[in-house]
Amino acid sequence: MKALLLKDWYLLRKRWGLLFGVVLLFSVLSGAQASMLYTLMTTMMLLMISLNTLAYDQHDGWDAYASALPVSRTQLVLGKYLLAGICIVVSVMLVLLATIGLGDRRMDNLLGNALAQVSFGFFFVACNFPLILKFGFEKSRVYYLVVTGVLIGLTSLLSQSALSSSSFPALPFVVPFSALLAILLSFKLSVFLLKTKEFSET
Amino acid sequence: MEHAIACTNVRKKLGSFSLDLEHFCVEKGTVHGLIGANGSGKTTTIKLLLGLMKPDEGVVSVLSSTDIAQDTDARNRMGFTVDDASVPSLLNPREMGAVLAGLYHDWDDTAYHQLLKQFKLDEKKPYRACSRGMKVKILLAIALSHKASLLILDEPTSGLDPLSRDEILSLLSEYSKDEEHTILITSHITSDLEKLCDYITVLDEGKIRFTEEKDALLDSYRLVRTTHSALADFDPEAILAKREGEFQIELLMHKEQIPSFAEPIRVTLEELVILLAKGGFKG
Amino acid sequence: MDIILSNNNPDPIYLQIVEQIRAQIVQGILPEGTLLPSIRSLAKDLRISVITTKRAYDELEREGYIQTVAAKGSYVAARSHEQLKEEYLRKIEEHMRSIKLLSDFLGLSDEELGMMYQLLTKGEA
Repeated sequence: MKALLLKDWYLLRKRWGLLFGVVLLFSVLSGAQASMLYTLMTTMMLLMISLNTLAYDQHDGWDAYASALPVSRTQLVLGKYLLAGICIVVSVMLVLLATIGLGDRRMDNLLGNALAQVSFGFFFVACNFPLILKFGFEKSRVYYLVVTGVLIGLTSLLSQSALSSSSFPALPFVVPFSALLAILLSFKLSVFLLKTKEFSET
Repeated sequence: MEHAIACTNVRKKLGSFSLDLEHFCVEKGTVHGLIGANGSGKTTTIKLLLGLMKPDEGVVSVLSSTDIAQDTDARNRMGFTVDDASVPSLLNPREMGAVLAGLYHDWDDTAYHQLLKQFKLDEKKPYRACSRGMKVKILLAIALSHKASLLILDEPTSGLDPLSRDEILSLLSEYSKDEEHTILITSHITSDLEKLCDYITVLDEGKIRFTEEKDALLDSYRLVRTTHSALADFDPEAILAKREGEFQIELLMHKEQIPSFAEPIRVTLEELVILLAKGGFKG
Repeated sequence: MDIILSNNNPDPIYLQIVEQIRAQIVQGILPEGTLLPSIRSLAKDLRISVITTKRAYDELEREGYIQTVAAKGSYVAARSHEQLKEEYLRKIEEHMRSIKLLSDFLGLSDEELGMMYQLLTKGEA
C-alpha cells in the first residue's frame, strides 16, 4: 500500500506544481470570499490530481502491469481511494487555514465548509472512479464532467439551504452520511470492476 | 511440481480471433519458446498466464495455481514482460526500484542496480525518455530482480540491436542454468529462440501446430534444394513442404527419406517455420 | 573438455556429443575421475537443449563411460580408459579377422594386403 502511494507521490511531484498553485489560489479565494463555490473548487482541483494519476496509470499500462504484480486488485483500488481521501483532507485543511488566516473563525462556517468539502469530495470520487475504471479515462471524460457539474450545483444549492437551516435541520447530518455510504458502495463497485477487468489488446 | 505451466482445453475468443490451446505445458527447469506470426495468439496466451485475462473455457495453471489473478503468492515468484503493460512512464528506474521493493516480497535491490549498471542504463532518466531497447532492458532488470522462479517474456528481444539481443540472451541463458528456473519466451525472431530454447511450440492462428524438443526437431528435418526439372525424381509423399522460386525449389523432408542423389542441408528454425507456414506443410 | 558440433554432420546432436566425449575418454584426454560439466552448463554453452545433453550423458552412462552421482555430477568412470582400450583392441582384432577372411577368399598375399594398408594411411596423411 505504501509502495502504491509512493508511486503516485513520485508521479505528482513531477507534474502538479502548477495545479497546486491554482489550488492554493482557490483556497485563499474561498477564505476571502466565503464562497462555497471556491471552497468546493479547491477540493475538486485537488481531486483532479488524484484522478490524473488514474489517467496516467491507464495510459502507461501500469494498471495492467500492476495487476500482474503480487498486489491484490483490492489493494490497487484502495490505493486510489486512499489518495483521493488524502487529497480531500488536504483541501479541507487548506480552506480551514485560509479562512482562519483571513480572520473568520466562526465555528459553524468552518464546520459547514469542511462537511461540504468532504461530502462533495466523497460523492465526486464515488461517482467518477467506477466510471473511469470501467470506461477508461478518455472515454468517460464527458460523463465525469457532467457528473462533476451536477455535483457542484447540488452541493452549492444544498449548502445555501443548510446555511438558512430552518427548512431541513437534519441536512448537515444526512448529506455527509449518505456521502460516506456512497463512497463505500463505490469502493465495492470499483473492486468488482477491476477484478473482472480483461486487459485485452489495446 | 512437474509443470511450471499447464493449459488444458483453454479457449478464449477476442472479437474475430479465437485462441484454442488443447494442451500446452512448460516443464519446470526448461526454456520454452513460443513462435508465431503477429496475431497468432502469443500475447493472448501470455496475458492468460499472467492473470490479465480469464479463459472462456479450460484451466490455466501457473506454478500450481489455477487462479493466477487471485494468487499473489504465485505472482510473487513470476517475472514478466508483456505488451501493453508497463511501469509508470514518468518514473525513472531508481524510483521504480523503490516502489517495487515495497511490492515484491523478495526484491533484490543489489541485483537490480547491478543489472541497470550492466545494461548501462541511466537510473535517473524517466522511462518515457528511454528508447525502446532501454525500456525493455528496464523491464527485464525488474523481472530478474526478485528471485523469480518463472520468467514469462513476451517478445523481449524485438526491436533491439543484435548486440543488445545477445546480451539479453546470455543473461537468460545464465538464469536458466539453475534447474529451479523456468522460462517461457515468445518471439518471432527465431534465431534467438534457436540458441536459447529446449522446447519449441509453434502457434498458428490461435492453435498449436506442434510442440517439439528443439534439437530433435532440427535433427529430424532437412532442407533439399533442387530444380524444377529434377523435382519429378522425388517421391511426392516424402516432400513435407515446398517453396518454389524461379530458379530453384526448396523441399522440406524427413532426414531418412532423402534420396541418395540429394544433398541434405540442416534446416534452421527460421527456415523450418517459414516452410511450415508457406510451403503447405502436411502433418 | 572440447566439444565442437558440426552442421554438416548428419548424426543427431546428442550422438555427436557422445562420440566426442567417448573419444576423449578413450584417448586419455579425460582421465578417470574427471568431473564433467553439468548438463545445463554444457547445454547453455553449446546453445542446445538441456534434454539433448541429458540424453548424451545418459547414453555415455549406459555404455559405462561415465558415472553420475546424485547432486554432484557426472564423472569419467574408473579405469574405463584401460577397459576401453581393451575393447577397442578387441574390435580391431575382430575387423582384422574379417579382413583376413575376405583376403583369403580373393587370394591376396600378406604383402598385397600390407600395401593396401600403406596406401590407405598415405591417403589420409
